[in-house]
Amino acid sequence: MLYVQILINSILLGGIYACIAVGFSLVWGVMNILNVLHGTFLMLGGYITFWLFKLYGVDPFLSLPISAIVMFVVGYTVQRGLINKIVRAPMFMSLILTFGLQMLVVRLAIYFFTGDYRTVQPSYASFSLSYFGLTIPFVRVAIFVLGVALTGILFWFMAKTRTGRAIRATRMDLDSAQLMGVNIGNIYAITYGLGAAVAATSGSLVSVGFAISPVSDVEFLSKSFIICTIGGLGNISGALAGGLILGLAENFGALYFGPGLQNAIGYLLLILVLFVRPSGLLGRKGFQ
Amino acid sequence: MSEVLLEGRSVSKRFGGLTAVSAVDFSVYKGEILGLIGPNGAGKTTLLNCITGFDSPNDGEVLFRGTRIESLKPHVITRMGIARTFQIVQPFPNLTVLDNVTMGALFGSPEAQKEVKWAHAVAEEKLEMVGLIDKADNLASQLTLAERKRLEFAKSLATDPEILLLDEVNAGLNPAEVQNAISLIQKVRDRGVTILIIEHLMKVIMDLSDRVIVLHHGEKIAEGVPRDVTSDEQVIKAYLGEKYVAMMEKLN
Amino acid sequence: MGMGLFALILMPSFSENDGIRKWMDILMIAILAMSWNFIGGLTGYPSFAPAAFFGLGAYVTAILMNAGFNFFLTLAIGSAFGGLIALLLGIPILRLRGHYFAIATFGVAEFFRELADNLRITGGGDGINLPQIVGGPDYFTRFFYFSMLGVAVLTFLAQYFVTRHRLGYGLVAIRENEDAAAMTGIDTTKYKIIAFVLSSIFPAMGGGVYAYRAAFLEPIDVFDIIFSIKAIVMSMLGGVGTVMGPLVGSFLMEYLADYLWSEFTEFHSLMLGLIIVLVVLFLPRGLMALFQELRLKGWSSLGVILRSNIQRFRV
Repeated sequence: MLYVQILINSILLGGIYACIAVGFSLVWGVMNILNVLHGTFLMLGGYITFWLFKLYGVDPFLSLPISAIVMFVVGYTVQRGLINKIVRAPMFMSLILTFGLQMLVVRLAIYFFTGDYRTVQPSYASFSLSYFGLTIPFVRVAIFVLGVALTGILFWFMAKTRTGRAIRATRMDLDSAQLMGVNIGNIYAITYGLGAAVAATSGSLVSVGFAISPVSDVEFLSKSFIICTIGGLGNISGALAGGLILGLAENFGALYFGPGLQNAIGYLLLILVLFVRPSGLLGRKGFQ
Repeated sequence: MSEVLLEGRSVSKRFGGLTAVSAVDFSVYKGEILGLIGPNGAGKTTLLNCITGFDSPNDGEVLFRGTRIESLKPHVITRMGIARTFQIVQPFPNLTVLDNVTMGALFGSPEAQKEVKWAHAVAEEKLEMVGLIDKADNLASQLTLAERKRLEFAKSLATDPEILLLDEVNAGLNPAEVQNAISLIQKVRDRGVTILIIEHLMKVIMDLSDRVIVLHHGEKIAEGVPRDVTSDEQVIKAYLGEKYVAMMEKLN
Repeated sequence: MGMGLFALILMPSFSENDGIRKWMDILMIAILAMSWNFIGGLTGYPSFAPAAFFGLGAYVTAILMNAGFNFFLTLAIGSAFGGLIALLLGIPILRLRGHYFAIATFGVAEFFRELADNLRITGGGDGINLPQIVGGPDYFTRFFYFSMLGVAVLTFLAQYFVTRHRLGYGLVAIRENEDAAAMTGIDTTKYKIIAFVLSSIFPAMGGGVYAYRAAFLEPIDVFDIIFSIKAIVMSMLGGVGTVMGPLVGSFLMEYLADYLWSEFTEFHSLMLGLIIVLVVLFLPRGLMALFQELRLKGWSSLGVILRSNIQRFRV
């Protein structure tokens, strides 16, 4: 029974993880940028939800669209204004730039939000389902379902809409896309904004079940790294696979090695995967 | 007949389902200029890659002075005395022209000396030879295409090779530049370097080569002196297509 | 350069302990920046590992000193150990390129931190104590200052000689065009590993000095990725791949940071972040390159140069 519980926990966790990572995968896959601000966007999304709940009593799940839209605008502006300047530079420059921005934002966040850990606790937070001795917190399930739905929406967007297809074309062949009339600067900004929006929404979801603080962004970022590397860049299923694997590894790892080494397992997996199969399990060029 | 410097026996290379090179035999004799021609996609560059260690053949052997080299790493092969230029030139963009060539001298020559100063001197000599000496302090990224080709040439010369493999050195050059390239190659041959040259321009092949090998769809379809090869029916068919040959026959 | 060294040696006789301590911190960052230069600047493989080796050296010194070893001996052992780990890790890791390499080194640094957090020999999350040095505050400050200076000088000399020597040429060739470098006769695998090992031994020594001085270590202190970030940014600020670049960058940055720290404690990270953003956008090739250009074109062209720098990588 214990194993089943852990399995369920892993799957629930895995879904969230996938959601966290998918925005990162998008930006990386399309623009070849490691977006250090990703974790920060997650964190900010969570805070948007938190403050809306605390100050105006908005149900966290209703605040998701707000979170998404606000952060989309932020992301778009950041990209157009700053990151676009160095999009063709050696890769570690974008790394350092986004890292510098991250430092700025986190510092400001600590100043305005204080460093305390926050959780959104709606009235139904403690409700959980119990079957056959298994405990499944309602909120976790809700988060899982919404997280997967979000991923599905992104998938639909990339596959069916004109903009989505322009984004995929841009990744596969920049020059051809330009020849086809795609405004690259705009597409890049939209992609980045999308990544931010998805991250923010995931962050909002996370804030309901878990605790966040201004310094959570590093953890989100690391997990996204790991998940994208394991699952492979360039497609949604990669993020799902990676998320699931990490969820399983962490939970079962905690069972055997103790809770302290949970994070270490993630890094170990990262390094191992990089040796064995750097493109990840389902990695592919372009974003599908 | 002079000795065989480089030879390939039944060399084959496949990429997944595609056979790029199929059971090719070839020999390069010391002191000669061997031309390697064939339509696009015939497998010429792939064959070169197999010789220089960038790819390893699936079947067959490549021997240099009798030693098998097909599984050696590129830098080892260079040190043995085989140099090569790339179709798309590969300079070190942010280094000076002089430094670019110095690399070749510093690392590629068989008795690779450790001294940077010595390597600089060798580099200057090679730059003189290809006519780039006044650009020695410019960055490689500032050169024109023709100049970059000469830089690539100088770099490979600096490794003091016994045999030089040239891959389409004339792509993108105007007729005057091509003529310069031809005399340069002849100058190098006169100094004792054996040359294998991949080319599209028939004029270059006719002027330079002692012998020619023709590849088509990865197979060798002809070998011999330039005049014989270019009037070989198979070769003409490969380049111009069956229908053309049939049409010419009908007209005659 | 000799004059600078002379000045640094004489300095403690003229300043009080606070000033000396500040310079020691500057030297420490300079060591990290110069070491990063081997693998990141010269070879073009952006590594986030300096923090990993810094922490490694710190803990080795801590553990060995608790076992009674002499301090300087622990530095030697720490650097050798760091080099060994770099060698072992390097062989698989250096097969990766670009992004993947950077992430792998990041993963290594974080992994070391998690290990240090959980192993008993390192004291886990509670940290580890070191034997206190005997002597008053003056002796204390001077001892560590000169130790750090010693390591810094070693690092600088190593850097200086490598760039003049065949090895340096080879590494730069790898950065510029790895395939062409192999074609030119350079054994790229061997050279990359040498660079990586070089980039590990000096941070390890620096870490050892830091550990002894701090007398108490926690994993988050020494395995902090900020060390790697600072090393990279300093090198960028001064000029990636140049000999003086990382040194100049470190001195400037730390001096600036120290000034800001005293004036705006709250905003230290903020300012650092801002500087990072500005450097990446306006000074991608560093100050050394900027000075060279200015010398060629005259000081009035400063605006033009900065503006063209920001345009270079646009879509």
